[in-house]
Amino acid sequence: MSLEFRDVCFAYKNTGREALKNISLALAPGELTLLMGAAGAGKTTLCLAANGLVPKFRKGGLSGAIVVDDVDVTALPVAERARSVGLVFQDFEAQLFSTEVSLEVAFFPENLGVTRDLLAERVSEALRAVHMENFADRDPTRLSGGQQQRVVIASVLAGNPRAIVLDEPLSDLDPAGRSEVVEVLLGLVRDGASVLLVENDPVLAQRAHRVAVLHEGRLLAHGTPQEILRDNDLLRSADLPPHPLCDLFERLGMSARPLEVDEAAAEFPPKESVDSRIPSAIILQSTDWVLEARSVSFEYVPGRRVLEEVSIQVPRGHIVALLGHNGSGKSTLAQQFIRLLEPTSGAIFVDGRPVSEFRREEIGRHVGFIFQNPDNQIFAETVFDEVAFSPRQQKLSDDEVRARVNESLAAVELQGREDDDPFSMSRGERQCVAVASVLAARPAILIFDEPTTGLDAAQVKKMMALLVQLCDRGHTILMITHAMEIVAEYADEVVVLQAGRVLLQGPTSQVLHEVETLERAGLRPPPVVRLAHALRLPFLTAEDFR
Amino acid sequence: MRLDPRTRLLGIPLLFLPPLVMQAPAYLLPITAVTGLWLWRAGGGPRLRAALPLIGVLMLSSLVLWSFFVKGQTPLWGPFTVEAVVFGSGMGLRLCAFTLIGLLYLTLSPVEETAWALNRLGMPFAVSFAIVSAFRLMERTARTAQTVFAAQTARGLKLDEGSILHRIRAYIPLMVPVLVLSLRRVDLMAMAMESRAFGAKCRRTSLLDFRMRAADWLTLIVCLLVATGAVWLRLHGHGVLIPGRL
Repeated sequence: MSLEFRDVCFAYKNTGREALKNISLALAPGELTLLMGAAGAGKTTLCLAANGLVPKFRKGGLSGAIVVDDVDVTALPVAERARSVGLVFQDFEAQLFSTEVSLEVAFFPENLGVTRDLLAERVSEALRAVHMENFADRDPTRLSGGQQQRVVIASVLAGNPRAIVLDEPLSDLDPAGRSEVVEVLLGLVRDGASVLLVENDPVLAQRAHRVAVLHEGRLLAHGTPQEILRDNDLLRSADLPPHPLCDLFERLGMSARPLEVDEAAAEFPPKESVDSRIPSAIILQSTDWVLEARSVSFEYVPGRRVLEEVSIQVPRGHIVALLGHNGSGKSTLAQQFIRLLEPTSGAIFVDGRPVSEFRREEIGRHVGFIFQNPDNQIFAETVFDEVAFSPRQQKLSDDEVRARVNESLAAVELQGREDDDPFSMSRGERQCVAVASVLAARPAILIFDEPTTGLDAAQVKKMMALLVQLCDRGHTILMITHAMEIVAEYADEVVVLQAGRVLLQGPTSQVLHEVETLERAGLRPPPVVRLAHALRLPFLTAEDFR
Repeated sequence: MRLDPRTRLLGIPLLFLPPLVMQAPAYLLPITAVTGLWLWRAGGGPRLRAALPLIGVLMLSSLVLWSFFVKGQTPLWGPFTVEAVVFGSGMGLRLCAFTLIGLLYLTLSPVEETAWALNRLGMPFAVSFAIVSAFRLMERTARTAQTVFAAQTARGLKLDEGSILHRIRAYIPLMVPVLVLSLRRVDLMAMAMESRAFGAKCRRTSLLDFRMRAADWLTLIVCLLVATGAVWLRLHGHGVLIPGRL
């Protein structure tokens, strides 16, 4: 069961952009190959080319050959090629179209005309392979993100394709969901499948058998994880983040390039340790809280609590991370600060005033909320009109509107782009437009819902630099996330929610060193923090080590 | 025992006939109550709860509107007469019964079973699948609309101010993102379906397996009897308030 790309080239018809340039890549049976690359490197195009969606759905010129088990399948129609190559997309919700898990999984083999007796067997086998056999009669939309993505994988497996290609299936998942899916994929390759996984996390790349790096449509490198991940220059030249431990050692001027925490810890001479653990109850020093939740409980459905007696405080002028799994209640809590939801019991305060005293249209001038997906709010034909929306809703004068737009676009470094069409901008730029449009209301407090999801390393860096800059200008930032490395590097304070309750709360340097507690909650601190913890040093980042 | 989806697809529309032909609340009230109870017992409680505001609006608007169109002899209060209120109640109950029967069908029949039934009744699978997918997409579009509404409200969107034209224009920030996101979803869904062999050149099979059994035929006969019984009653003057009017 092997998949091979032979000298594959593709240029998009509408833009003429060469998305793939002479790609030759062979995936051996029983191997998980991880494909890395920055935005625009050609990863998705290669995935779509594997099963013919390029050029059928994305028009353009394709040359070269896609070969499965030594059979050239390039000329086969998509529906026929599905027997050879199964494809899983990033957006798992859009791939689920049945009301029951078993029917979802049966859809592919049904289309292939598999007999009914064999169908039931295929469905059971596929669900067993992804450890979802007990969910056969459940509604897929009621499952967690990780479970939904596993159902999608099962629905592809049920068609018995010879190779499986997954286009960033982990990017919307929390650490537990990511881990679930990766375990499933490793199980598949153990059974002899050939799997191509698109993913940019260098820590996760360690678990693959081979790593391929794409850059501007070309295959830059292909080798073992050790060969690729230890080469910081190679990854940087592809606009990818280096492995955190290799990056740390390079910054410290050390020659070793460890990939594991134990391996890294052994490189440090034994020294006097510092007790970096925190007491179980943290008392914040600050009393100048701009956001506060006091014993807040919340129920969407009577009797089913999503939040249980949650009390948190957000100090003025800091970046605070609200951390937790999908479904832990992070967004539910954050939406109460802008009155999109009202607590079932308890109280919410903004700048010391009960939030219920603010009118709904007034709250946006105090607290800005930037949703995860910028496309949930972009509607205007120009960037100017998009950013001017809030000031115009406030019925400000034209001069004031223009001043606010200029100020907001300057903050996100989009000056001069006023007349651009926001729909034709990159995801990172659209995210910046969304931030600018919220800043135009001049709120002192900003809540970001997963600000880095869907962005590549360079875009993440830019987005986080923007958050730091806003904080330096006096904004208070509450950031909902499950990206631990972002928390370690940028947050001053952390609140960890688990199943609707506060698990930990305090300064980042203390909370992230509660390694065992976090791991029990399925949250794994990043390698640099785990290394510092192993060395009993209270560090969070490579800079701290220096 | 689970009925064949064809029985539900053919039988439940027959149940629309009794409320359609009756006018008197004395007949329509038990029909509505029985349907509501059946819906509740069938696990449609959440749907029933969600429909209660709609049912309230239907009842109220029917009561008010029919008072302007039905001339009665017995004054009740202001423009309302006893006859108009009774007729309005009947028409309100009819609409409620229609709503409840529709919800009952949705509760008893997963969309895949409806597609299966349509397919077995001769409709090509691609067409039946498109119909049921449209229902699923509507549900997801509604969820998208909620998220977009939350995002725009957080930016100060006001929908209830100004002239009618201004209010219509205020919906643009809601409509555009919902439309864009929905189009993207449909595009991705089409790719996901085709990459799972939708449209492959072979005879499609199905995990669903139903056969018409005695219980199915019996259910269809009962539905038919109820429907014809209601028509017979109507033709003999039962349940009628204003002859000559449906």
